[in-house]
Parts: sequence; structure tokens; C-alpha cells
Amino acid sequence: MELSLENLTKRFAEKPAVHDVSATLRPGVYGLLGANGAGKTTLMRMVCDVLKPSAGRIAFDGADIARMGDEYRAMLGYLPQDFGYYPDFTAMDFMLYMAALKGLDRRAAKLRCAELLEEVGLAAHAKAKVRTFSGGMKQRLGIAQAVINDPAVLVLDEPTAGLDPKERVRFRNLISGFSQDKIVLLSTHIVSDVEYIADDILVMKAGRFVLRGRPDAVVSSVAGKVWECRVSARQADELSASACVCNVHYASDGGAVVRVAADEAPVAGAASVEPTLEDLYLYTFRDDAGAGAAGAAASEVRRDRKSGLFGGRR
Amino acid sequence: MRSFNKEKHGALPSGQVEDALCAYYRAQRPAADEASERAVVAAVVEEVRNMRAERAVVDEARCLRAEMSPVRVARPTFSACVRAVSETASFVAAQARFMGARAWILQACAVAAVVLLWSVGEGHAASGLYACLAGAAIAVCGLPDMAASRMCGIVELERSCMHDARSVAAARMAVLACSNAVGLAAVALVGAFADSAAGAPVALLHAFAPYCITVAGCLAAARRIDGASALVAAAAWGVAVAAGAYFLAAKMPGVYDQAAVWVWAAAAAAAAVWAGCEARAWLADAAASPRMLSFDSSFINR
Repeated sequence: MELSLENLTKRFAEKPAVHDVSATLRPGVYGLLGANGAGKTTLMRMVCDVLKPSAGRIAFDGADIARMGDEYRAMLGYLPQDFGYYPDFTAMDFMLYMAALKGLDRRAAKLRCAELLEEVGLAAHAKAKVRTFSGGMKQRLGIAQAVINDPAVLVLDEPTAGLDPKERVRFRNLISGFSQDKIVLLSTHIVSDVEYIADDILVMKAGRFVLRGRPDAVVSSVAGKVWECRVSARQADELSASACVCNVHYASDGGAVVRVAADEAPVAGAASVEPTLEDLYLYTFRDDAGAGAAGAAASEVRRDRKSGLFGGRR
Repeated sequence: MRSFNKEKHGALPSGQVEDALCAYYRAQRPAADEASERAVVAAVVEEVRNMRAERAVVDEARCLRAEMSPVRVARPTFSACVRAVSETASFVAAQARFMGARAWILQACAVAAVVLLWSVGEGHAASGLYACLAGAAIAVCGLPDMAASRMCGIVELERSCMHDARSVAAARMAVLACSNAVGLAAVALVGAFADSAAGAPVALLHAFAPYCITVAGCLAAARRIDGASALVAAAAWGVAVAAGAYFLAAKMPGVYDQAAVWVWAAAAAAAAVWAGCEARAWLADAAASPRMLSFDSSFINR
């Protein structure tokens, strides 16, 4: 089983959202990382036959999915980033509706839906209206509908967005359970989710794949570019404004331990440390938000501390 | 030497072809000398080789086609057609089940309201006007179900399924067309009863033309406007059509006379073509338009 993306391009009003992307996906979990607007959702929509590519093609086992049509979609499971539902539907209605769209026999669908609701922990809420569900419950319902037809290709667009840590762990485990012998394409901003469950990582930037490989191999591409140094709080603020700061930890003595992703040591005495996937992400997207999102966040924390929101710096 | 007559022998299995050829050439043999026997054998071998090569080419082409599109190349048998029809019918029935009775109830209310009006009004103009109002009301009643996929943001999920968003839209159109046909038939019957001089066909024409105009305008509005405003715009269009019918009844009552039936027939035909074009555009949008993917989540969480 193989899903090939061949020179895939999608333009909206001549502006390319995905530009000449090629990859071959085989059974396994693929983590798709990228900043907002990198083209992840557009790419996933094309993989799911929701959007037609402007150029290039997607082939499943050599056959163009545009020509396969319903035959390909019958093997597909998709959880969109923000999916809707009919307001008067209960969880079971929603599942049965999706089963009907996926061509499942009505009697078999009832059994399968009940089984899946049980598996995602929603059996007790099967008759509750979907609009009364929390974000986590909706996402669990979303993953349940995505696997109703036991798909060969499972596409999950930011499935853990907005979930609390406990729900996220639960959701991650669900995905791992469902992903046996399937091509799973999972996009997220939450790097740790990808770190835990992905076999392969695809990093997207400005509509293109900029990095691809196994998590450890990909992370090793920034080996020797992640530094930790102990500086004063003032210097930490300066670094946050000028460099790609991954983390700042303020100490009670007025100093701070700063973790920086940079090609060269940011200050004298900085020690090179083992990189993580998060460091890689911040290093790759360091140009997208000036000095880096983490740096800005660190500055934010710093300002809050100064204003005494967290009790001030001691 | 004459060539082997394929038509006479028909399509034979490969073994029998060789036997038939041998028998044919044996009968054609002029003399029993060695040279002519060798020539006959060589000719048979050549003929069989040609036929096998021809068949191999045909088989290879068939395999290639099957490889590219295994489902579509298969010749549709009667049972496959029956299965396809029953699958489609079961999908449309499933959509009807999930749509519920809202459209039917709204439509029944609209027809009942017009029947009440009929009981108090008199004359051709009033009768024609009420049929027009009923036609416009019936069309508006079905719109919330027609636009539900987009309003509720489920188009993206539907597009990724075996029966995609276009199939869903087509199935919903079919269900609503059935319910609307029942409603229009009821209007025609009541119209014939209320104005026996005009008859059911004229009442049907008076209802059908504004029905098609309303359907077309509502679909056009719902396709171009995002969010809940689409429903408001569509309802406003329905009101505008009703107001137009009222204007005709007030200022040009002769339009509702039997003599002007051809005008209504022409208007109904033109409106039906417009409605057909809008329905086609709606299905095309459901299948591929990126615009259909945006939705206001506050609409479903209200």
C-alpha cells in the first residue's frame, strides 16, 4: 500500500498554498508539522479529495485518486480541523449518518457505531446531542467517525487542538490504537504529540516540505545548534528579542537559564545541548515570527512578572 | 487458397479452432504430395499463430484497461444495474430519514394557510394569486434542508466520504422535489376545487412558475452568501416573488385569466430552465468549490 504525492500544487487566486510537493507514504504514522499558513490543511484536503490540486496528482497504489473517485474515498478516514454536525443530531445519529455516507449497511453500521462509541468512551453519551459535548468529546467523536469504515488511509488535521493534557494523552493513545497497518497523516502544532506517535516527520514551510525523516534523524539536523546559557534577567530579555529562544527559566536569584536555537553560541560560555523536536520546530520557523514565538512568549512572561501578575521577580 | 471462414465457424475455444482449421484445410487439399502437405501445415500454423497473437493483443488491452479502472471497465450486467439502483435508492432513503419531517411539516402548513385564504377569496385573480403564494412558500420551505450541509459545516466531511457532498446534495434535491411535487399537486387540486372554471392544470401553472423562480433565486442567494444571511436572503427572495404575484393581482388581474395561460406556461418553462441551471451550479459547488468549506460554527452552537 502506497500513497504518492507527485508534484502537488494548489493555488488560490494564483497564490500557491502548496507548491510542488512530492512524497511517498507507506503504512505508518506521519506527523505533519508547520506554522499557521504553511499549507498543511490544504495538503490534507487534497489527500482527502476535498480539494482538487491545481497541478500534480495523488496516486494510491499507482492509480490517480481523481480517477478512482468513490473507490478511493471508500478507503479513507478524515477528521477535519473544525468539523460541523447537524445541530439536532445525537452522537449515535452522527455516527450513523457518517456510516451511511461511507456506504455501510444499516444493520452493520449500528453495531460498528456502538462498538466505536464504546471504544472512544462515549457509549454513555450516545443519545446526547452533539452540541452539548465538550471539545474533547467532539474530537473523540470525530476520530470514531473517521475509522467507521476501517480506512486504509487516515488523515487527522490538528486532532489535539484545544484539548487539555489528559484528553490529549487519551487521544494520542486512541490514534496509536487505530493506526495499525494504515497510512496515518497527522498534522499538529503540538510538537510533543508528533514526537510520541509519529514514525516519520514532514515539516512544511511556505507550501513546501523543508524537512523529512524519522524523528531522531530530523532532530539531529539541528545538533550543535541548540545552546543553554545562564545570564542575567536583563540579558535574557535582550536574547528573547534578538534570537530564537526556545525556553527561559527565571531563577529566584535574578538570573535566568536561556535555551537558544542558533547557528553560533549566542553568548560566551553557552553550552551546546541535546536538541529536541521542539527546538527543531522553533529553529525551522524562527523567521516566521521575528525573533521567534518562544522569544516573544518569554518576553510576555517577563513583562507579566515585572507587573506582578505572578508575584514579581524575587 | 481461400482463407478460413471465421464467421461460419463462429467463436470457438482455442483447441477447437485448430481442429476446425485442420478439417477445413484437409478438405481443401488438392493432392497428396509432400510439398503441398507441408504448405498446408505451414498455412495452418501461420493462421493459428495470427489468431493467437490477435487474441493476446485484445486480452492485453483489456487487462490494461482493467488495471487502470477495474470498476468502470466491467461490463454492466443487469444484476449490477439493479444493485446500483438499489444502493442509490437506499442512500436517498437514508438522507430522507436524516432530514426528518421538517420540510414536510412546513410545506403542509404553507398549503393549509393558502387553503384558508382560498376559502375567503373569490375570482380568478385571487385564486391565481393564492396558487402563486403557495408555490413560493413551498419552495422556501425546503431551503433550510437544502443548505443544511453548508450552514452546519459538514460539507468537508461529506466530500471525503464514498457518497460525497454532491451525492448528498443530489439526494436531498430528490427528496425535496418529491415532497414539493406532493405540495404542488395539493395546491392544484385545491385550486381546481376553489375555481372550477380554471381547473387543476391552470392552478398548477400558477403555482409552478413562482415555485421555479423562488427555487432558482433561493439557490442563487444561498450559493453566493455565507452563513445564516444566506437563509435570510433566500427568504427575502421568496417574499419578493410573493409580492410580485400580489402586484400582478392588484394592477393586472387579467394576467390570472385563462386567456393568459400561455404566458404562465412560458414563464414556467423559462423559470424551470433557470432553476435547473442553479441546481446544476449548486451540485458543482458542493463537489468542488473551496467556498463551501467555510462555515460559521456559531450557527450550530447557537
